[in-house]
Amino acid sequence: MLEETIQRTKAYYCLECGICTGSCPVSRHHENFSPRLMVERALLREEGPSLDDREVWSCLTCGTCSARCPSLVDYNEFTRETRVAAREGGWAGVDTHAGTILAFMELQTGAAGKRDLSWIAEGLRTSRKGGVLFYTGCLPYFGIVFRDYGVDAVGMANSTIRLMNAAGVRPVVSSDERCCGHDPYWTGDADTMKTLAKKNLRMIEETGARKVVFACPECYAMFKLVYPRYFGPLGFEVAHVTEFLVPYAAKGKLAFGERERTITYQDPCRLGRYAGVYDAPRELLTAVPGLEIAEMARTRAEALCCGSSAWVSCTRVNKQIQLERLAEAAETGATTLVTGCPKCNIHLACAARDGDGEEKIEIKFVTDVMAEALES
Amino acid sequence: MAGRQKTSSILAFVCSWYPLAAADNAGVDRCEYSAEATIVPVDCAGTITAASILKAFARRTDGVLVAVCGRGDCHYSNGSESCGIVIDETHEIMKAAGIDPARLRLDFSSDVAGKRFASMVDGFAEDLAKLNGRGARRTAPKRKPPATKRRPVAKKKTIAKKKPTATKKAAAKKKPTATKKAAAKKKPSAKKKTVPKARGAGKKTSRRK
Repeated sequence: MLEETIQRTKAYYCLECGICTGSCPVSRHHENFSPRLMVERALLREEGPSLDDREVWSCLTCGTCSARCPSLVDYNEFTRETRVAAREGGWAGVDTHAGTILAFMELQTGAAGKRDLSWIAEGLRTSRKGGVLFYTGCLPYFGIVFRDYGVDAVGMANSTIRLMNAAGVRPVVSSDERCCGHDPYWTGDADTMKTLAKKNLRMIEETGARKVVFACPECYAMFKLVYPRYFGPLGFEVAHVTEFLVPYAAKGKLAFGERERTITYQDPCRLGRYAGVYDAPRELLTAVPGLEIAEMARTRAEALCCGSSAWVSCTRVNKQIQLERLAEAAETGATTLVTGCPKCNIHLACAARDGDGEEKIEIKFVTDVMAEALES
Repeated sequence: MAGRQKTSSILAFVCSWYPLAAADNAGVDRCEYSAEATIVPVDCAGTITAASILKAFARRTDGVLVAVCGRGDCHYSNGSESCGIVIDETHEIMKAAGIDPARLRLDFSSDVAGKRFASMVDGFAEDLAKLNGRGARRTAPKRKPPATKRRPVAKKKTIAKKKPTATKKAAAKKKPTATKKAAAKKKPSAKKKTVPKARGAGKKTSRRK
């Protein structure tokens, strides 16, 4: 098991240079966490990455280390496979939000019925069959769980549909949609992901969609990078909502009104480092006349993670990473921090709520900002 | 244990104060109620999370009952109220996931009368039977694998509990093989029961040595 993981992730190329630990946002605040040592222990077989070690669950899988590694060791995959082994051995991380989120993901593997679509705002046009499908992901659920955090996840889904409607697209929103399985997958539960993926692929086939649009980069990265590994080439195109809308904005099909404001943009790890989409959100945002982007010190492939992932292990370390990022955003002088991922939005909003109130910056999801700027 | 081996389909989280006293009283007063309900005592209903309820549904429980002390009567100040908030949120999640919220019932009561508890459980079981009859959720066939996975564990535990009697026999210095022969002479129905006991006894004696 360990041997295979080392082979697959090319961990044997490790030079012990320590760039990974030096780049790691967790190691910066947590002296006991070291990606280099994790790999080293596995290679020397002294102890192996001990599966009962809680640090197995501390990694954010943000991909900063893998992006900088001179030997191209895939540390994210190394972490994931270690988690699979840990889970098989009976260990698990501490689920955040009392396990509610991972529980409703498990619920969607079988027991759940048809999704309730009553959250779609009045006046928005959706269809049951068609060429373009909007994959909502967990947004309707997040709308319930994170209401108290001041995050309107349902609003994010609605603004995405509003933008697609404005571009003249009437997307399919299916009640047979299930969770993409990102979080079970990254917490070492690939079986749940496979069950969910099969249901999703069948659902998309039934709707006859040729293009699937995602608001959440995690779902997008799953469809783009992970599903093909397990199920072969997908019979449809995938696009993040920003990628999908850029050509419409360029052709002038999306008309935005003048909005004088300076914003800064948070690159989500799944959209940026994983899927390699950096320009589309920026192009879309700058399509709004008067809107300027002030980049943070660490941006694009160097961007700092929002501090938490896969709803596992949220500690003071994660909170410090989030506050660090909020301070960095405030330094740019921007009034709004625009995120490309609903989860970044949730995590940063949570930190802003818990923080001492110094980081007074508005946090918004990209489609919310764009839908507000639409000329009606 | 016994409840699980039947067609248990109601999971009842029962607060260890008034509601559990009511459940106990139902037994003391010999009030019969639906055997489908598996009672899970919790220290305070305020500790119940949406996850524990949703996981029950994910593992094909038909209904979840949460019995809580009446509002304002919580022994830990605000458990009843916080439980109410959690259940409201869980109802919303269930609705979003396409599971009838009627499958999760919250019962606030500081009444320790067994009769009331029994009729409350019966009422919920009846409502669930109606829902199942309509085929509200049972679209997919019953999945058996999770049940078969758990059963051996349950059996082992029951054997372990019966061990003391088996060890007494072992203490009488009967060899395990001898008990097997003795069992073989007995009625065939008795065979199955005695063999595992003999195994258990053998293990126990070997440990003592």
